[in-house]
Amino acid sequence: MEFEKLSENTHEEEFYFQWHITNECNLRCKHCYHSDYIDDSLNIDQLLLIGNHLCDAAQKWGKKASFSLTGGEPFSNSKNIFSLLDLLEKRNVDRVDILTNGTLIDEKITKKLKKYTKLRRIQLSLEGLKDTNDKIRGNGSYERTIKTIKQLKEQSFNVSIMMTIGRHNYNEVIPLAKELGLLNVDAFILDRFIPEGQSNDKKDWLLSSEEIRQVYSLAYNFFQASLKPRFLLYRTLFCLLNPDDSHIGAICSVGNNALTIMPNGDVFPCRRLPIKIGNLLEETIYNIWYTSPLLWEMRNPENLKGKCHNCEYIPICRGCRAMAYAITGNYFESDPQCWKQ
Amino acid sequence: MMKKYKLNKNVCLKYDDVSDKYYAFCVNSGDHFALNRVGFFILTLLEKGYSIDEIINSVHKQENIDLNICKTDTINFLNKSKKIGIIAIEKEDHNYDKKRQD
Repeated sequence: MEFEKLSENTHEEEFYFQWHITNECNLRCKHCYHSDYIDDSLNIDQLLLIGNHLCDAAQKWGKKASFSLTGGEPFSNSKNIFSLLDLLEKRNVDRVDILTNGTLIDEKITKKLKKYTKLRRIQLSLEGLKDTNDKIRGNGSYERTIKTIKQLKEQSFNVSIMMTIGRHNYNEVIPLAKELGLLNVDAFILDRFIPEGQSNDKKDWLLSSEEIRQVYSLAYNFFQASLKPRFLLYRTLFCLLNPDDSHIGAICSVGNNALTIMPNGDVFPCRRLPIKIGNLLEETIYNIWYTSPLLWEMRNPENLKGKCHNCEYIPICRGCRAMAYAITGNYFESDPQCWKQ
Repeated sequence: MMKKYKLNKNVCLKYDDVSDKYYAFCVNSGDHFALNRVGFFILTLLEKGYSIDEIINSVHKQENIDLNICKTDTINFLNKSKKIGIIAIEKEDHNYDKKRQD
């Protein structure tokens, strides 16, 4: 009757924490998944306590910790984000990304960010070319973001752009990619629009499965033909385009190797799956990771329903559980935008 | 005199039917241990409040092994589990020997 101590809880090498350190934001983007912008952020002592705890957990699990610090707008309180960057720089962290709208990053902040060796990438957002972007993110936001991109590239930062695609902007994916190439942007990431939070009433923005197939195909073709910007196609459904290409597609990370921390310490399985599974002021990350019924359900692909249930691509995809939840109310339903017959 | 063990309240037992593996998770320290099926069975019975005698008899019946070997192995397993913090001694059962004689 032997037992053995484990050093790893999954087969993944990385453990990813997407940490929303504040709800405050200076923009009101129409597609945003936030439901309110009330600042219920924790104080810096609480944030540092959580940061240390998350690093300890990754160490305990034998994982490379990777963090994305975001908001709201994480530079709404620059003192807090720099304190956390200081902490993560000192800890057992593999890399840190900052997800920001970029509008508050001035030259002083840019220079201050230079010292962080673990800062891998700064991710900004654009939703298309100028007119389309500004309709969604607010007048003048396109020019401000372009200015920030140039400022960051002058200081040799790795810059990526996130575009959230829906019916309102999907025909601008490739035109925007070409613009970003001219600006020497390093990476371009597409995420599917999910109607939730304040954008819950915009279900007409959802692309059909055929439209998703078309835009993903265009992105994949661009990816194969161009070096800048590099499309990062590590998202569910991309594998359907070419299951043998390991550079595209990703299995849903929920329950596998990622968690989202909200400004008040609440923990979500994924930011786009807004179901509270614990709070780090009240319990350990271990308690959440080991005992959450939702996470255990998610780890079992037998629970998938509809065409996802018997899909041959379960080992490399499983669809987007957040999309299924937003559209059907059941996170095990088929991904509504999957085009596989 | 017999020890009375209890599962540490910070330990969570889990059978993962996807990987067909058995675990004991310490939700305070983050330690986690892989168990075999019998070890998991023992800890599950302990969690339900079974006495050591009841556990030994249950394992003996389920695994169809010699009672003395079963007793030795079960007590060894419980002692190892205590050493790594999965279980704790709740109290000494001072009537254990008397009860056994009865």
